[in-house]
Amino acid sequence: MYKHHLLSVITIIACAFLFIPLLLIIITSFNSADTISIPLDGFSLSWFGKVFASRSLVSSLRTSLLLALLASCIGLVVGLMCAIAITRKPGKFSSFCLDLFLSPSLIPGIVIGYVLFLFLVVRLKMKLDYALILGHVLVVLPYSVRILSSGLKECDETIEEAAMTLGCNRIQAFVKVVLPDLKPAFLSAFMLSFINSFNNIPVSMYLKGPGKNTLPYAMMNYIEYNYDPTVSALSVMLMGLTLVFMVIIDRVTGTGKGSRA
Amino acid sequence: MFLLLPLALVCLFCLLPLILSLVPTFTKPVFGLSHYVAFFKDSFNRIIFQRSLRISLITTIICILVGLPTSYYVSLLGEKKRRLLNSLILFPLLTNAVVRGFAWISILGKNGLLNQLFLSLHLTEEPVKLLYTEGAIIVGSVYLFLPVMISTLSSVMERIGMETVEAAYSLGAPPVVAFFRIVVPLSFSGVLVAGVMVFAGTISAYTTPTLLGGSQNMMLSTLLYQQSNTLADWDAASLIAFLMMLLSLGMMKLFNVLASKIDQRGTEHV
Amino acid sequence: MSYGELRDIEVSYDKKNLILKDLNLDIRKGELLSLLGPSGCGKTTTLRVIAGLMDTAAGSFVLDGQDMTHVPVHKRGFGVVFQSYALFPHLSVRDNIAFGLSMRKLDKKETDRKVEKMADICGIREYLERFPKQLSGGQRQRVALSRALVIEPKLLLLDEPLSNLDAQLRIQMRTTIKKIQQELGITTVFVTHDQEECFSISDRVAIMDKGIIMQCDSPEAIYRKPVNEMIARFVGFKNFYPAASYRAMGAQVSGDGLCCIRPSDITIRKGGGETVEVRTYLGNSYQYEVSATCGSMTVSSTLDPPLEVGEKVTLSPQTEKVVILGA
Repeated sequence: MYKHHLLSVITIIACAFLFIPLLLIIITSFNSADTISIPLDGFSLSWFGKVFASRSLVSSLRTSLLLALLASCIGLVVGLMCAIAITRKPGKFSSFCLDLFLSPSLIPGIVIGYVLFLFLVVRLKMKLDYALILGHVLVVLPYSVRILSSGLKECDETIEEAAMTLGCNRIQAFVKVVLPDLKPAFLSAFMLSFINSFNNIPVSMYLKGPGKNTLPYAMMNYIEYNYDPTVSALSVMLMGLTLVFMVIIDRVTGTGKGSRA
Repeated sequence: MFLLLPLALVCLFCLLPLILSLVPTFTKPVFGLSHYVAFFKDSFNRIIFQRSLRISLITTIICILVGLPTSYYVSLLGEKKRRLLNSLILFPLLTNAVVRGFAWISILGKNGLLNQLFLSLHLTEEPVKLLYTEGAIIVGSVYLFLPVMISTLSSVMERIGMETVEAAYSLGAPPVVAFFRIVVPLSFSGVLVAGVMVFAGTISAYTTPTLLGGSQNMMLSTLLYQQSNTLADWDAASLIAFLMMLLSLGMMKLFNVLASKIDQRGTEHV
Repeated sequence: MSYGELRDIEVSYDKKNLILKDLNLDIRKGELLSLLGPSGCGKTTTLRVIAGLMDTAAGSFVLDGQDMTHVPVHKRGFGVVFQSYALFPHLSVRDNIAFGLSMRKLDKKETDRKVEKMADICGIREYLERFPKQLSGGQRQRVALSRALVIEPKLLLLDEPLSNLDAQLRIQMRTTIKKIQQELGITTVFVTHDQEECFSISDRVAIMDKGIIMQCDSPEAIYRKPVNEMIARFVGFKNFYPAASYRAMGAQVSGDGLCCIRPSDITIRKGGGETVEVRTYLGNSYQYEVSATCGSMTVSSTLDPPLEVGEKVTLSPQTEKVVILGA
């Protein structure tokens, strides 16, 4: 109705501000020359190939992927346990625990990284690999707990009881009836955990080993010594991948809500 | 039962390390704030501390000033346009901090796109120094948190409801008056909550100040990394870590309490 | 010349689906006019057009000689009561009511005088210093009403103001609204989907469906002579059969149109060719489903002793009570 001119100007500036920088990266990744400039000297896909030619980028990609996968899976399992415990026994203790499990997301990432480094690696002399995985599990745990506990809360408890009257014991009822209902929650918790572990910098920064890097850190190093569209190309690929993930999450949570009667 | 393992995990590997790392800053060698006093006596540290506060504050203010009108405008739009704008606004969240930092390096750098534009339009003789300034860190931080601010405020706008604003119109309030007398007061507690998230986030960020500020514009996070990784000065690093925790968590607690106090006055709960 | 006129109003959300098309409505000064209809019929849209909250693709709206079509909302000076009441949560009841007056730059003494007077009329004087959060539904509704009335509007617009209240409160409030409206003499347009509520307090009713006004008349006129089947059903007519069937039962109706009659306007006597199929007890009368030649007829009667299921009866619809609907 009342779309004031000033309001629309501010909005357009804000949206342009947010969208254009990434658009520029997408455009410059196709440049045939090795500069990041507009207008393009020519169209080329070579930089995308160069990404895979760079050993440091590829190996760090592998590390990040594995790490994200591992951390997300562990995070899912642990998060499920927390979620079950919290939703099945509501009360002060449960809400305290909920806050506890969500707390890693409130503490500055770099502080978590530093503290884990100091405590686990320096003081306890834990192997870096284990510490890294542990750190990432802490980072992704809040996402699993939040999504899974709200998924469980929405669950109708009476379907478990119905299953039991039909012959299942407690555990069977849970596995056969509740878990399948949580599929969309699992999927979106997994994807959000994966994305956040993959993109994590502060924790990875501290706990990576010599010669072993996560992708964001490898990118930072690359930028320091090279200024060419390779990173643009890699960014475009990462953006595309994340977009796919987000679309999947959206589809899944959308249909999940619909199928719940 | 179920809770035991995760509880042990979080306590052992998160809380305990935190406490063990941070408490010594108060107790070693003597109980007291001596380390902190020494920290602030050093002007190098003071400058960094002030810079972190300043940048976080400016970023928060910019996010509020831009985010509030934008989220209001978006709430006025029809379904289709709103969805389009929301996807544009949330688009940056698809990327990691390095990509976002890199985007701004390629725009603000000496050979960056902005300088290329200036030179080709003959606006300047030489490239302008835009990168490795505090301004660049602010731009990068706003870029990180503006989407968060806008989407938080959007749900606040929804809670306020179009009918409340229409009621103001029907009683004779022109759009501008309605915005300042109705929308702003009702979104105030939401602004506080989102604002403190932006503040805490900006002060905690590492990648953005490093990429866009460089070594001449250090913030608490870069100092922390330097002390711990390069210099292995655990005491100094723990101190900085505690300061960062205090600033972000402390601010969060303070502003959340303030926001709920405002809600008690009779506003809708955000 | 009517006080208010909507002419050929056309409204659509996406330029393809028309919500209102060629809508014409007259509003008479001092009347309480209701817009009645099922959800989605366009009654709220029409109200919003009058309020200025909805842009029209075509058509005009004139009030008291002034062309309001392109006048923005905040300059129209109409009092609007929204379905959700839309009270300002951060302002006290007093400040809520005074809001419109503060827009008109009244001084404090004058504002307080008017606010308190209106609070007295609406019975909320003791809540002036409270906040909306602390009030019940009925109290909030009266605050919304006071807020809209205190600005002495040319038109009062109410969008389903009673639908969020419980049944007893609803009946109480509608009488209050009617009383205040008559006392202050404010022309009022009232949107509702509740037929009983609408008929009890309105001077005229405009019944809408699918964006069209089907009949606009006094409640008595609509009750006695509905113009189409939908309205007839709405006001309690049953027994929809062609005129010929009614003639077969002895009514003197001419033509081929669809006819209907109220269950209470059919005389039922023992003995005859029709059979009672079902009997329902309604408290002060009995309702019978009788299978006649044309189909099932619903008849209500206070016959004492009541008829039994399976009894043979004769039906005689009263000629003057048969309503012939559009062909």
